[in-house]
Amino acid sequence: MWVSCPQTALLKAVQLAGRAISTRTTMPILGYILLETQKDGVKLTATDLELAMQVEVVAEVKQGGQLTLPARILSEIVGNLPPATVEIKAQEGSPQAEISCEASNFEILGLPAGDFPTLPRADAEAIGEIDADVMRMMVNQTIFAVSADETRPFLTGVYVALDGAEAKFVATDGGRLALRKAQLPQAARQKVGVIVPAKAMQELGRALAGVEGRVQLGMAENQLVFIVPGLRVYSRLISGQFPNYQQVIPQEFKQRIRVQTERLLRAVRRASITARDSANVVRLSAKGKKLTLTSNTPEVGKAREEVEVTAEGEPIEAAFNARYLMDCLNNIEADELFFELTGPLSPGAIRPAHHSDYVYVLAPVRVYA
Amino acid sequence: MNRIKVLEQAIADRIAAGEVVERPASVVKELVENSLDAQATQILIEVEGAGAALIRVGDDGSGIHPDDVRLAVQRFATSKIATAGDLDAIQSFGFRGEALPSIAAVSVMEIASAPAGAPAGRRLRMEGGEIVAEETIGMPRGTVVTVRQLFFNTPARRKFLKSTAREFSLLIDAINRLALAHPAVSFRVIHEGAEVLRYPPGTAAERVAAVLGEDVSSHTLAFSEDAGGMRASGWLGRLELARGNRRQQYLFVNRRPVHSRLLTGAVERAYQQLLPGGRYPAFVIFLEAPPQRVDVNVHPRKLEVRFDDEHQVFGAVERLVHTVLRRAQLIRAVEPVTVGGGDWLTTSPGTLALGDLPPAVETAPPVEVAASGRLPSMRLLGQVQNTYLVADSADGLILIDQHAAHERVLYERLLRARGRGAADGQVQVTPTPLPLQADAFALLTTHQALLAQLGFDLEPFGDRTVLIRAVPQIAVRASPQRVLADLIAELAEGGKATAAQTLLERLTITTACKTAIKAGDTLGRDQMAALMRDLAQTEDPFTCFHGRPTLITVPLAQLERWFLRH
Repeated sequence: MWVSCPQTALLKAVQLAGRAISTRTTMPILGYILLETQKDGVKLTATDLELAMQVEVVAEVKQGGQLTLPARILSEIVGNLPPATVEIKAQEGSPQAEISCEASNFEILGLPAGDFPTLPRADAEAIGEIDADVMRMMVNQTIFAVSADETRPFLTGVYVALDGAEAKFVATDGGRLALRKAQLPQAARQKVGVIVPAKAMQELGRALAGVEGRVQLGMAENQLVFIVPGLRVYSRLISGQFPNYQQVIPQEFKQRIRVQTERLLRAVRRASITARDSANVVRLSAKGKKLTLTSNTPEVGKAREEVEVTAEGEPIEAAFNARYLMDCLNNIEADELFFELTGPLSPGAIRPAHHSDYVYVLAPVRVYA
Repeated sequence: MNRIKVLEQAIADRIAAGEVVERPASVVKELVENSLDAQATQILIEVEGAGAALIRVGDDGSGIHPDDVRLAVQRFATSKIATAGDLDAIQSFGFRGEALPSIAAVSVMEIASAPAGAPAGRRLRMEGGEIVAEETIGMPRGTVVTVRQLFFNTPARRKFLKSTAREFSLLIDAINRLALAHPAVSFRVIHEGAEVLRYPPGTAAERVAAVLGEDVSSHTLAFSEDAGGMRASGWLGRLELARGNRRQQYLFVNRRPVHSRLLTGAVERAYQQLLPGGRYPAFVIFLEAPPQRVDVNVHPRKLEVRFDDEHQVFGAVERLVHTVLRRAQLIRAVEPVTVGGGDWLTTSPGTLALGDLPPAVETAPPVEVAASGRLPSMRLLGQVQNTYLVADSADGLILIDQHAAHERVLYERLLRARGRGAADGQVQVTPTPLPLQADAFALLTTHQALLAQLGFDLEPFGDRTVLIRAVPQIAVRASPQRVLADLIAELAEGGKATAAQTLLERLTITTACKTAIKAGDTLGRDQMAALMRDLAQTEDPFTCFHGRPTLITVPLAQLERWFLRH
């Protein structure tokens, strides 16, 4: 194998692929990046067996072949090279590679490329496609609600459903539920509903930053593949039945508060300062044009703040986990929102004021004293 | 038929001796107490064969008038009390007038004594309680008692003596206990012709250091306080001194070494939760109580004491120890010190210039955690094995067990919440059904009210399922099912488990334990910093409620020793 490519492009690829590397692996080969030549480029692959990232770099291929290199060393070397052309060279079948750039020269030992785990064929069944920008938002608006409870593995991922012209991402940890819908550019080729592990969704969201165009979704050997030009993210799926989320979403409300997102966020953030030790609970009550937030930790102190709102319906006082509120307000990407309440111990819902593609259901905290 | 008859004096004496003189250590104790009662400033103890062959106790005390020496070896003859009323206000060690005759009855004893200003002293020689010789001798002021062939006429007693090493260690222990209470008196012990112990006169602190060793006394908390009408002072061992036995517990009431289940129990109660089960604290405690309030005349060897109001004394001592422990910084030091020996460790520490270290490469800057509560300021350096946090502090390296630390934080949070009524419960967006075995179902439904205090809202649904409507707020990141499974196990134990803890207490502990960050959980920098800040706010940051340490320090001096930087 003999390829040459710009240092900047190579570094980006090495870092992106490296996101799939687990620090807690017992298989040495999983700490390596597989490099394979293509028609006019080189493909970098890394995996922790749950998640695989495959990144393509445009390169001049002088001689085809494949090799593996230790991810951390490779990333450090490329990161410290000058922004010039990098050349990677290896004898066919030899585990040793030469990396050179201007006057710098490294000889690095890899492992046999044949030991690297094989990934499913990428040209598997295509399901549909989503706008990259929309998909990134869908990830960001749901991922934080994923559960960490290993005894309920089906809650530790994001439920990804495609049905007709609609895509849905749903996540819940029992105390709250986030649902993001989006219209597909074209109807999905098949109906799917799968649970994708949180880590894969997180890396996908990160990798999609700045990406334009569409993400293609494909299924291959019980893995979901996300494909954008130059990048493929493979993810294992979580088996199990995702809970019936439809019944969780309140269909009506007793009080509806319209508020500016940023104002509410700042107020919650301030109130949470004196809420941290008492389970992070912030109490809300609205009447007419005024929403009052209070928090109180007897050992620390208390806070009270009023926010200008428009409230309709019967006044309801409820206590919420400030963290749950902030997770939503930080990601809702709407200037104004509706906060719908149904009772002091019944789940409330937050929806953007101007569209109905997002709903965040959060249950209150039962507070004593 | 055997008729009843009054025993001969010699036999009666031998029986009485059995109560006072059990082994060489008790002889030494009685003789040294006599010396202390005689206001001695120097006491020399010579021993051979761990006391079985020879015990000689000499002092520079007030001595006995030559004409009284014969009286001194008679039963119930004493200079220390005169009337029955004196028994209620005993200030001296001896008062029963039993010690010398009892020792004399079971040995070959010689007593020589001279008071101040007397031209000569008197020496008596006795065998099995009979005076066999008496003479006037020239000697300096003081008393010398020599006991040879202990138990020569009571072979059964002799047979029950333990090994020489064991008897000797008991003998030294008896001397140590008296020496602790009398720091101004100098003690020397010579065994088989060699000096094995020398305590020069000094302050109480110096004596504790001399008796327990510098490396032990430097791990204690000194205190001096009023407790329930008594004066209490002494040293409480830090947690690392705790041992699997009670040998390092020294208790004194009015300067008299005593054993007291009551007092020991009170001290250990205050240490509860700070130490794991089966570990006992080390302490030296002096209680000064008005003589009317204590009865030392319970046991011939005066090892036990009784108080007029035991309940009140127990409470006062427990509160006192609790207060002293709670105001101290109790981070455990690594390499728990050993009692005695290990002198090679106590060389003077060098200095470690941290500025000499090369800068660390490409690591995120450490998280600074300001001093707070009883924790010192520290710089969190990171996580080891996803289980321990490592921090740098002025005292050295601090290691933190993330699970134990978080357990402590959550436990106290639950306790506080319970104090306000009940812990906050995170309501679920939709109730989770939990199918159960019939017995588990019955347990959960009968104890619904208790579980509600912890933040659970459970509702029976059919005859085998409960709906989880709310989970403790602290458990939202954990698995409510797993916590419930452990609570069911705890409920199944019912009232039969450890009586000291109520069922609610045990449920609280279980909830905190199962909810806490586990060993193996990766923590971000913010989480680590938050954990340390929360820990600093707790009342007992140094141990989890199982008594395991949450933090351990590796003192700088220890690091220097490990790296041989002397």
